Formats: sequence, structure tokens, C-alpha cells
Amino acid sequence: MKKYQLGEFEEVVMLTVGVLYGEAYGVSIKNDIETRLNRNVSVGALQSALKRLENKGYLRSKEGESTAERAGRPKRYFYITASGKRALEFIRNSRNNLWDAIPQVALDLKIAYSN
Amino acid sequence: MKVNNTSPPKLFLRFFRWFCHPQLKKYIEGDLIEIYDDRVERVGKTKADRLFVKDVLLLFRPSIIRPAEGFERLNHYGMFKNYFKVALRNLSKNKSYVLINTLGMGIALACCITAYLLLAFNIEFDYYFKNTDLSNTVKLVHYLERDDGSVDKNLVAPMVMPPIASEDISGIETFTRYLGDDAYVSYGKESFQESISFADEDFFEIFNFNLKWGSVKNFSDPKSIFLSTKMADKYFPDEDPIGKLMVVEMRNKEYELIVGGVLNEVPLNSTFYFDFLIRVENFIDVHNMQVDSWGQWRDVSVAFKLTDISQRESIAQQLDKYVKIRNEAKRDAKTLKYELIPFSAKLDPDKLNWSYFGLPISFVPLLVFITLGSIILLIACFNLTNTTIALTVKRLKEIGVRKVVGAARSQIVSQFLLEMTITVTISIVVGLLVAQFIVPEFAAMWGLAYGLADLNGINLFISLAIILFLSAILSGAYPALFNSKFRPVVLLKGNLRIKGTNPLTRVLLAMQFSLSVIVLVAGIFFTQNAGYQQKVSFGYDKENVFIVRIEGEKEYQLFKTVALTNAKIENLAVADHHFGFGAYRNPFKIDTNEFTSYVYEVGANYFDVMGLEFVEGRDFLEESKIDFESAAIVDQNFMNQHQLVDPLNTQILFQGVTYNVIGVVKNHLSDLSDRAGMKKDHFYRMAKPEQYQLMAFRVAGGDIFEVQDELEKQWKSIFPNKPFRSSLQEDIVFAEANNLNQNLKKIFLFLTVLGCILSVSGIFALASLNVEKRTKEIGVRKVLGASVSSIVKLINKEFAIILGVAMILGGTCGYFLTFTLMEEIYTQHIPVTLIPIILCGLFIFTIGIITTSGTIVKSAKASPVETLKNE
Repeated sequence: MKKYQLGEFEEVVMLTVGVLYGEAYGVSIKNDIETRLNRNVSVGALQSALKRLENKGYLRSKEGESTAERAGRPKRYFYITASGKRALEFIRNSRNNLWDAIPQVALDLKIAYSN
Repeated sequence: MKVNNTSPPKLFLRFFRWFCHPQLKKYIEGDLIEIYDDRVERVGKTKADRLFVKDVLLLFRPSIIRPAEGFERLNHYGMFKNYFKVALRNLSKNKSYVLINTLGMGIALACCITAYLLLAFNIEFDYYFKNTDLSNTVKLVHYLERDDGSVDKNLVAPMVMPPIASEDISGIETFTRYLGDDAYVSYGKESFQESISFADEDFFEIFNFNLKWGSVKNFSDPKSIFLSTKMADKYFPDEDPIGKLMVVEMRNKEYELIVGGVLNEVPLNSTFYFDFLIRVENFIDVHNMQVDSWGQWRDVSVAFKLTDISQRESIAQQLDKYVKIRNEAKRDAKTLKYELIPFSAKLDPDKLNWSYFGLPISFVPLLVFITLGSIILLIACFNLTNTTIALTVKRLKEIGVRKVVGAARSQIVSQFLLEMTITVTISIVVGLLVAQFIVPEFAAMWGLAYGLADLNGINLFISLAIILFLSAILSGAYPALFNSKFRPVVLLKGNLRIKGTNPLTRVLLAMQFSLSVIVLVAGIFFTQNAGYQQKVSFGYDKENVFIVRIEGEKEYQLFKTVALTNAKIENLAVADHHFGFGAYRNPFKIDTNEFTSYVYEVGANYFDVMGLEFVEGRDFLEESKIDFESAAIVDQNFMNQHQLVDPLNTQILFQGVTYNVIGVVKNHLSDLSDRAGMKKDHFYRMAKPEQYQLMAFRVAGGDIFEVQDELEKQWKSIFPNKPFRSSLQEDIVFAEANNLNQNLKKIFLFLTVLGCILSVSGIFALASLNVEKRTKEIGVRKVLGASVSSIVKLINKEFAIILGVAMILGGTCGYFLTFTLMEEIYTQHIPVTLIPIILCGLFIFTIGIITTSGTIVKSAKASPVETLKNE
């Protein structure tokens, strides 16, 4: 994990950028996370996460068109970079490895207890 | 697409625009507006506004706020960097001036640090007890009425009073008495005379001391002794002192005491500063004081710990009941009342007559040294001002360019002030280095065991910062304001003519030189005073007399037999009191006439040994029992002041005994600093054998030191363990005055040299500037036939006037300063006369003129071809 450091919220943001391929800008990312994951996202938290990810080199951005809807302010579209993709894959793999390593009994027991 | 006119809250939008990182601003603002519009449609404007505010506030986080650097600088870092660079370049360009200035300023600052040392002594007085809760502790102040009606204030009370008071009065929790005395202290074979202090059992409970070894609990043992680290090192250089047995000898009584603790060093500016501390019970035992001995004159300083400080006034009133008992038991002084003051209250030492507690430095010396420090700092500042003006004339173009590029006047001013601050900062570093030498020297002069290491670092830092700020402003303000006032066009065109001197620099120069004259005058008079005081008549023959300290009759008899075998000793006498040590006032009665006078208790032959002549009557006889019990000798002052018509048939009542006057002697002067001079009246009677304290010897002739050495050998042969303590009579009467004269002479002459160097460098800078400005004029004059001497005279005229004014001003101020100072210190001092003052003035004048002439002659000799050449 040392090589690819990614927080939980950052991971969510990156995945959403991936989901919204080509259409990912501030508001759309926010809305998507809110609807899919049913959690509230503040503009501030989102923007600082985006900036962090960009600084890490996992995302890149491009200035989009400006619309009257946004009082003439341009959108800023985000894309996942190659290293971003590697980071996501790394995380997914390490999660999977962990899942695979859990003995069946542990999960069963957990189910048994929760029952 | 629907465009709506609702807009988010303006204030917060502007706030966002202000703080947001410029690279992110437009995108995030777009997002915000999009979300806002969406919300207005879904939940209405009010709620959308609220959510917008929340969003903006949540955006206020480090990664989104714009950085302070990189895009816009919040300070003028670049400008200051430039100032700094220019300042350093200028300093390195004028190394010689910088050297003179920083050195002069540095020494001046070292003087200020020395003066600060004294000031800090008082400010930081009792800082040692900062961690002790002394809020309920009080000191006892005692008011006495003298017979001339004036009121004496001191910090002592009868020895017996505190224990009785703390029993009687409920508000007093505990108490400690404190006093000091001399004693022989010995451990094994080591024996020295030391000053030791006495305190009560609860001393360490009231005051928190830092112990190196041992425990304060040991002080509950009346046979314990506590040592300072210094004394522990002296007596126990390589062993653990705790539990060791030391012997303290007072008045021929020996006390075996056990070392209970060693204290870490206590600074001199503390109420309690001692080498040895033992229980006060030992002192009571030495002098056989009874519980009811209210009449004892051996008083003691007292501190009470009260249960509540607010009760101190009512407790002081309750103490008044002891006033009556005291006044009845001891008639010669009238106690008026007692007062309790908080321990931390600042007391003016000048108003206190007697205290065993340590006190701050009194006002007069403090004022003198702070004034001297300020004077020398002022000279240094003036000097800096003058040289800076002279130097910046070369930099007018630079100022012009700065102004054209857009510098405001305030910025030019701050640039020059910054340069001055740099110079003064370097000077402070120099000053601190110089202070490492000056301060110990100064402290040693006055025997102060106090130095830079005892100063509180924070206070010193703050004071240095204040001095830095003050001297930078003082010396930098005028050059900064002066240089920044010109218009750029004038500056750049280069036809601005700045005259070599202007009214302010002239005034500053005059002040510098007059201050130099003042310190020189003071130095000269204190030098002469020492010589003058040697010739003051004391009324007796102080030459060829020395004394030896003894204790009691046994030592006297033993040593007398031995000493009489020495042929070089013309005469000897024993005494309790002695000329030069002072005496006490006591009440007398002749018939019904009551008065007080000074009492000396001496042995037979004393007047003969001291060379005090008889006017009439005879001396005491050694074997006469009648003389011993009821004979008295008085001096002429006594006779005249108390109207003894027929002195030899007068009876005087003193301490319940009637004395017959058997002789009248001449008057004598006991002390140079004595206000009363030769007008004191004295009464002599025979000393009781147990009170014998010293023997006086008159040497027949030859080398007095040789006789002293011989006597020392004889002393050692009979008292091998006792130190031989002897001093010449001349040393006794002059010791203090000589020391003071020498010290003041050193200080004033040091200041004179320093002041002269500073003033000379100042006048040199001004003269060279003046000459530089008038090069062309000098050339023209030479072409027209002026001689070198006439040119020197012409240019020197201005400086001669300045120096003349300085001479008169400095001479006058020097006269008053020296006169006031001498009056304050001595009754018998040299008259402050005009001729030395004039000579001092002329001396400084000459130095100044030589300096300026040197510069002027150099350019007056230059060939006109060189000076008139137009490049």
C-alpha cells in the first residue's frame, strides 16, 4: 500500500470519475456519489480530494466549455491517468487477496453470531 | 435553457473569490453556482442560500486556500532584502568609519550594560524567592525618635520581642529573627575570621532555599550550621561537609556546631545573603540575653509570617504594647511605633538607618551610573548621527533613483533606519563582548559579588532590545529624515549642495564635546580629592599608629607583656571604641540639663598613643580604681556645647553613675564622610576589661610595616591558632574614601578617554566633509594668494566656535556635577575651583582643533591645479 496511497474517499472519487468517463466534473461527481452511495458530499471535501489526487498524478484535468448555466464559468473535466489506473488495480487486488485469505469459517461464524 | 436571476449570497461569494486558489477559482465557482441554481429550483432560495454558505465555509481548507507566496507577496520581503544588501555593501565600503562607530558605540553600550547591572540588581531584587509564597510574610519596620526630633526608620526590633509577640498575637503564624556578626570559624586546623548570620528555627520554613547537600530539617537542631557553597569549598575542599563538626568562636566562647546543609549559591541581591547560618539562640547565649532583656541595644531584623496579610495593620497596632516596655527599659532612644510591610514591598535604602536584611542599591549611586551610561550612549549616538550624515551625502543619487522608481519618503526613512539598526546590532554584539571585561572589573572595584551571570536573561534581552530601538531611532532619525526630504530631480541633477555642517550637527558636536569636558572635570577633581583628603586634619596624629584586634582582658595582658619587649614601640593602649570606627550617642545629665553625646570607652594612655592633646587636666590612670569607676574626660566640643564653665569640677550623670571630669582633650574628626565634621562632642570613660576589643600602638619611628610584622610573629608565638588582625590608622580613616576616590577617578577618566575618542571621530568626520565640499573654494582662494594658515584659520573658525561653546557649557555643567557629587559623598572635600576646569576645557578644545586642523591642512596644501580641474 505504500506505493499507492489512497484514502477511502479518494478511492470513491476515482472510481466515480471512472464511472462518469468523459463527463466527470465537480457537480456530476458529487451528484453521482450522492445517488449511488447515498452519502452527502460537500464541495470542499470533493474539491480538496480532487486536488490531492491530481497532485499525486492519479487524475488529470482539462478545461471544458463554459455555459450560461454556470454564469459563464467553465467546467473542469477529470480523467484517470495510467498511474491512477494502476493504483486502483493495486487496491482492488490487495482487497481481493485479503478476501481470499479469510478462512471460510470466520465469515460463517460471523454470520452465525449475527443470527 | 432557463436563466434565473437569483444569485447566491454576495458576501460569501466574494469571500470565496478572495480566499480561493486562483487556479481553481473559476471551476469551483462554476460548480457552486450550478449546485446553487439546482437547489434553488428544488428546495427554494432560502435553503439554497444556507447550503451555499455551508459549502463556501467547508471549502475554506488548506488545499483550496490560495498560498501566501508565489502569486502575491503579503510582505515587502524583496524590498527589505534589497535594503539589507545595500546596507551591507555600504558598511563594507566604509570599513574605517564602521570600525570607529561600532567600536565606540559598542564600548558605550558596554557602559550601559554595566549601569543596567546596577539597575537590574534592584529590579531583580529577591527574584531568588520567586517560587516561595511570601504573600503573607511581612518585614518589621521600626520608627525611632532622635533627640533632635527627627524620625529614624530602621528594620530592627528588640531581640526579645518576636517570640513574645508571636505567642501573644493570634494573627502571627511564625517568625524569624535575622542578624549578622563576626566570628572565628574553624574546622580542624583551618581557622578564619568570617561573618556569620543568625536565624530562627522556622527560617527555612518561611523562605525556600535551594540546598546542594543536607536537609533544612537539620536546622531544627540549635547546634547546626549551614554553609554557602563557597564556604563548603573553602573548609571542605574534598570531603562531604554534612555531619562534620565546626567550631565557632564568639567573644571567647566556643560553640561546637554540626554542618546541617550546604546552600546553592544565592545571588547578592537577596534579602538574605550569608556564608554561614546558625541559630539565633547561639547569639543570645553569647551575650547572655535574658527573656526580659528589653533594654539590650543588640537589635535584630525580623520577618513575621501572618495567617492573613490583610490583618497586618491591626497586628502592627497590637505590637505597640511593646513600645512602652521598650522605652522604659532603654532610655536613650525613643521608639515611636512598629509597622509591618509586605515582604515584597520595595524599601528605599536611603531612608533606612539600620537593617540586617540585604537591601537594594540606594538611589544616588544608581542615578549617577545611569546618568553616566546615558551620557556616553548619547555621545555615541550623536557621533553616529554625524558620521552617517557625512557618509550619506555620497548616496544622494541612490536616493534619487529609489524615489523615481516609486519609493515613498517613508520607505527611504525605513531604509536608513534599518541600516542604523544593523550598525547598532553589530555594536550590541561588540558591547556584550566588551561587557565581559568591563563588568567584572567594575564589580571588583566595588567589591560586588555580582555579575552578568546573575542577570535574568529575559530582562536583559528586553532591555537590550529597548536600547537597540532607542539608539537606532536616536542616531538614525535625523539622517533618515534629512536625506529623504529632497525632490528626485534635485538629487539626480547633482547640483544639490549640502553644507558640511548644519545647525543640528553643530549642536550635537557641541554637546558631545561638553559632555567630554564634564567627565574630564569630574575625573580630575576626584583625582585631586584623594590627595587633598590625605592632608585633612583629624585633630590627632594618625601617622605611625596601628591597631591590633584582640578579645577581652586575657589577650590584652598576654600580648601587652610581649609587645612591650619590642623597643620600637613607643607606647600602647587598649580600647573598646576607636577613632575612625565611630561611637554611639547616649543620654547624659548635668544637674537637670539632659542631652546626648558620643561615648568612647578607652584605656589609660589612649590619648597619648593617638596623639590627641590635653587642654587641661590629666589622663586616666591604669591602676586607679576611682578613675575606672567614676572618672571622665570630655573634649572641647563637649565643654562648649554643654556649657561646662569649670570643666574639672563638673559632675556628669551617665547610666546611673556620677562621673567627675578629670580632663579636657582637643576635638577630633572620626570620619571623612561624617556630616557633622569636627563639631561632634565626645565623652570618654575607661573601658571595662571584658569589652577590650583592640590595642593601639605608636611606633617610635622607622618602618611601621616592619614593626607590624615583628608584632605578628610575637602574636603567633602566643596565639598560634588566632589570626593576627591589624591595620594602620591611616588605612582605617582613608580606606573607604581612598577606594571611592580611586574608583570614581578610574571611571571618570575611562569615560573621558572614551568620550574624547568618540567626539574626535565625530569632529573628524564633519571636518573632512566640510573640506570636501569646499575643495573648489580652497583652490580659488589659493590661486588668489591665500596662505595655508589663512585657509586653516578660515575653515577652523566654525569649529573653534563650536568647541568654545562646548568648553563653556561643559565647564559649567562639570562644575555643578562635581560639586553636587562631592557634597553628596564627603563633608571634607577639595573645593571645586575654576582653574582646573578651564584647563580641562582648553585640553578638550586643543584636541578638537588639532583633529580638524589635520584634515584641513591636508587639503589646504593640495595644489590648486588638482582641486580646480574640472573633469
